[in-house]
Amino acid sequence: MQPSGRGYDHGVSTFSPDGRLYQVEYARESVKRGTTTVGLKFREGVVLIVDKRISSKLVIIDSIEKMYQIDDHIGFTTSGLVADARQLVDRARVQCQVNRMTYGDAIPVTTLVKKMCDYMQSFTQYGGARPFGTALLIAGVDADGVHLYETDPSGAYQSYHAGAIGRGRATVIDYFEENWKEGMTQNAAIKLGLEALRDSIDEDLNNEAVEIAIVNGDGYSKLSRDETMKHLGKVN
Amino acid sequence: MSAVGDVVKTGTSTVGITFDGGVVVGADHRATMGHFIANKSVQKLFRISNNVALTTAGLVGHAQSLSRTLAAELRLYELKRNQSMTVRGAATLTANILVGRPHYVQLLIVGVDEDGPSVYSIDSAGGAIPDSYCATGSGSPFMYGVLEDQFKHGMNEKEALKVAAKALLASAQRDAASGNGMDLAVITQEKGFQLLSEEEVDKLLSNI
Repeated sequence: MQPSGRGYDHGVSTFSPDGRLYQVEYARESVKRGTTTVGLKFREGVVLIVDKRISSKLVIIDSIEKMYQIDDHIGFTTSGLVADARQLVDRARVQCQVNRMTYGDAIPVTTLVKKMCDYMQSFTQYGGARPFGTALLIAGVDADGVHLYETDPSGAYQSYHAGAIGRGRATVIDYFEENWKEGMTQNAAIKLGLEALRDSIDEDLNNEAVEIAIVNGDGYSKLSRDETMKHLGKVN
Repeated sequence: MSAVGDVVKTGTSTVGITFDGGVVVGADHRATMGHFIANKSVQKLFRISNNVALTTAGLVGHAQSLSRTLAAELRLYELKRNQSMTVRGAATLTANILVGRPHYVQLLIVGVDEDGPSVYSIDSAGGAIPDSYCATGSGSPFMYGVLEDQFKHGMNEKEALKVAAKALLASAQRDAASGNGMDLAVITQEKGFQLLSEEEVDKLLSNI
């Protein structure tokens, strides 16, 4: 059998003749197998939503983390390899505090995104490394305004009005392209995000497994279970 | 150098007092270079987290650097573990930093956790000692005069604030290296760290 990368997929630092880095592309596949997480901007901030799909009712849902507070003003959601994601989350949290210690100020969101992406990129260029099998949605608010970024295992990043990572990305993006509008209220944005997420899994959302966080001028805050249920009630 | 000599050289007054349900913590505003008052509005009381505060005496550079490190460490601890560091944890962390690299400081780490309120005094080489009340800096001998007379176990917030303010007032009047007003803060389990506004401090002092 011919190996899929024809011998160019063993080392992360070897280009194929047509200019591809197969290991990076395989890392993207790992993200595509991950649970879907969505993020969208509204008038005053960003909504992040995750659906922690569980494989068995024996799993204790609270032990699964897909949504992380990074600093007062920044939150991540992750898709792909959870263990890889946790490394990135730990590093991001440290970078935020390093910025506060070094300059006495909270890190600008774009600076953190670039730092994280520089780090991820280094795992695509040096021998013996393996890229992170993880994508991040980075939501934050700073002096420059409201930010939502998506990162990719190659270390590339893009800023979005509304985005998604993971298995249901294409469906969610289609839904957002149809329905996302500038200047939505927070409640409208949460509803739109939940609808898009529900569309991507073709069934009702699991009440226990959905988490919603808001990042606005007051910083990052996760909605309580009661508040989350209220929003889910309008969608399911 | 004797211990008393060290304390007198710090040129500061800070105080931490436990009461029933919380701690009161305070510090003066004066920075000195010998007999010269180098600054009249120095911050020596730092919020480290919602349940822990730090007061500093000694070299300003060392004190500010420590407060930055501690604030970063406690925030990381909270984010990673989803719970607050205990006061003893913060005091031990600070002591460990100082043992590795002594700073010319005399610190109070005060706060509230599940075990209640506590005050730790920490010396420049990392000695950490818990107490129910403590004063640091060159003004501490004068403050202890007030504290030994007025401190009682089981005081309420109002009483503890009054004792702290009285102690700082005494050192401002008798210690040449302390004064120019004060910062006061209260930490309780329910409300966390609350710094008193200038008006609140003025009002408190006018009643003494």
